[in-house]
Amino acid sequence: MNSLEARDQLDTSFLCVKNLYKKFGGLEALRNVSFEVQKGQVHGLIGPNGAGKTTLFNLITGVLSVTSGTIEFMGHELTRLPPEKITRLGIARTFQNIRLFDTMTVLESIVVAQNVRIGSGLATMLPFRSKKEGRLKERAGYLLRFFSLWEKRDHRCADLSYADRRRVEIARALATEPSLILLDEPTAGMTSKELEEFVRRIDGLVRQEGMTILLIEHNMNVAMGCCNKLTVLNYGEKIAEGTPEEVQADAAVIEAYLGSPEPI
Amino acid sequence: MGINILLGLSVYAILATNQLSVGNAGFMAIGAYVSSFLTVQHGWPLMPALILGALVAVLAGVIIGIPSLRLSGIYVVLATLGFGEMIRNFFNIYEPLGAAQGYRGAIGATAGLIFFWVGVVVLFLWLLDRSRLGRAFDAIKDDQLVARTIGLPVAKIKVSAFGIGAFIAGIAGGLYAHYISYIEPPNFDFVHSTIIILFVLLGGMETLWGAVLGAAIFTILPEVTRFMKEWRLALYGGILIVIMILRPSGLLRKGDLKRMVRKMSSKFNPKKGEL
Repeated sequence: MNSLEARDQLDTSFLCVKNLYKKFGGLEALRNVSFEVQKGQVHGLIGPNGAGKTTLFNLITGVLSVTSGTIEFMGHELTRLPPEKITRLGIARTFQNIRLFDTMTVLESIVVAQNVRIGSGLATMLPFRSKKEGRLKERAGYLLRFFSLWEKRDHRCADLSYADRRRVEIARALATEPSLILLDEPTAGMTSKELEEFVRRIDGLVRQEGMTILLIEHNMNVAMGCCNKLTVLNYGEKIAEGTPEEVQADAAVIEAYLGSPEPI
Repeated sequence: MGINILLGLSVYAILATNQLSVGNAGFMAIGAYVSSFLTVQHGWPLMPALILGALVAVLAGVIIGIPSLRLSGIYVVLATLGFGEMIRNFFNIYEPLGAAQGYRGAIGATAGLIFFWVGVVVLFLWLLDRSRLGRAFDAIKDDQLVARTIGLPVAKIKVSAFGIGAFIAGIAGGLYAHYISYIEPPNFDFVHSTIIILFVLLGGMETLWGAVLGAAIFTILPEVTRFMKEWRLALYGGILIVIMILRPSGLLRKGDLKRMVRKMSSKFNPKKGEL
């Protein structure tokens, strides 16, 4: 009875990754990875380079196909779905090496990301503007202001500074109206001032919008400061999980990052 | 000239989703033959015949568009090339439509009608470019994977781009048949497809006005350079190479016209201008 209840709880969790494997030819990029993300939390994913963090993102968002295992999001099984369907279910992402639509302006990038909620059929050619269109326009304005991009809305994405490009990418992901957003090393290359601002914005997203965030992070200060929970990967396997304090004290984690205390 | 503009636009519409179609002369052939068959054999009025011919071309466009989804870059080029030649060969051996002797008797397209269609198509593509679908085209052109991760139904959109391009080429073919009154399969070979692509490459592939400009130049150029006789083709090749080096994305780029218009208006009322 008890185990049944426990399973029920597992099934209704927000994002639930179970026994996930991913093989590239003979290489096992992910081996038996399981973890859960709770709604309204900032969940960090850390680990040395090549640990499989980005691969995990690619599996969740349908960019790569799963070798075996399941990924469940609000009761939907994701492993057989194409990326566009997964986005419609409410998962958005950014990329480690920022990927913007370089020929488009900032505003256009936001607008096109909203298409998933309003459709992009021939009907949108008509000059007629629906109520929904008005609401989306308002939302686009809000997102641009939230990321201090309003003044730059007509700039081409290719012409933006590095930090602005990061901001546009996150704003674009939010424009798809996700309930879970996956950020792949969003703070890479940021100055300490930009870092502070980033942490504040993440906080705002969770508090004001009830957003759930899965975050790949190399900056330990950010990871420890932002995240409610951390999952640590190394060589494709989960080696630790818990609150930042627990993980920090974990022997396996210290070994993965710094090597074993007694050199052979 | 109007027909060339339409053909240029048909390539532009497909290229807008980053698919280069070398089979547009095939879509043109379908539009030409189907509409001629309807007007000559069945006495249909020109307009419905044109539209039905173009719709048959759309069907062909969707049929070639779906397998092209699995291909990318150069392979789309090859698939559409094969497709175009297939269509041409079909009309080359299909007796009821004259086979290699061609098909004659279609009449009724005036220069006015052709420019009416140019207007319709330009208006359509201009509205498209301003719509959410237009932005989706841009997104797919820039980065297809990201386009999918922001939830765009990339497959559907790419096939519909093929459909739109095929429709425009089909209309152009129908108009051509009813203007020239005589069509034969060699009119629609891949050399013709290639020349259509050159319109777009020369004029600029980022905006529909580029295709219009390119087609206009390529139509006027043979007339102006008539004195050069056989050397004309060499000249075209040379012009193309020079343009590709100096302006790889074609003569007109996105936003160029807007900037020009702004400059003009600021000349007329300098207070408003940015200068």
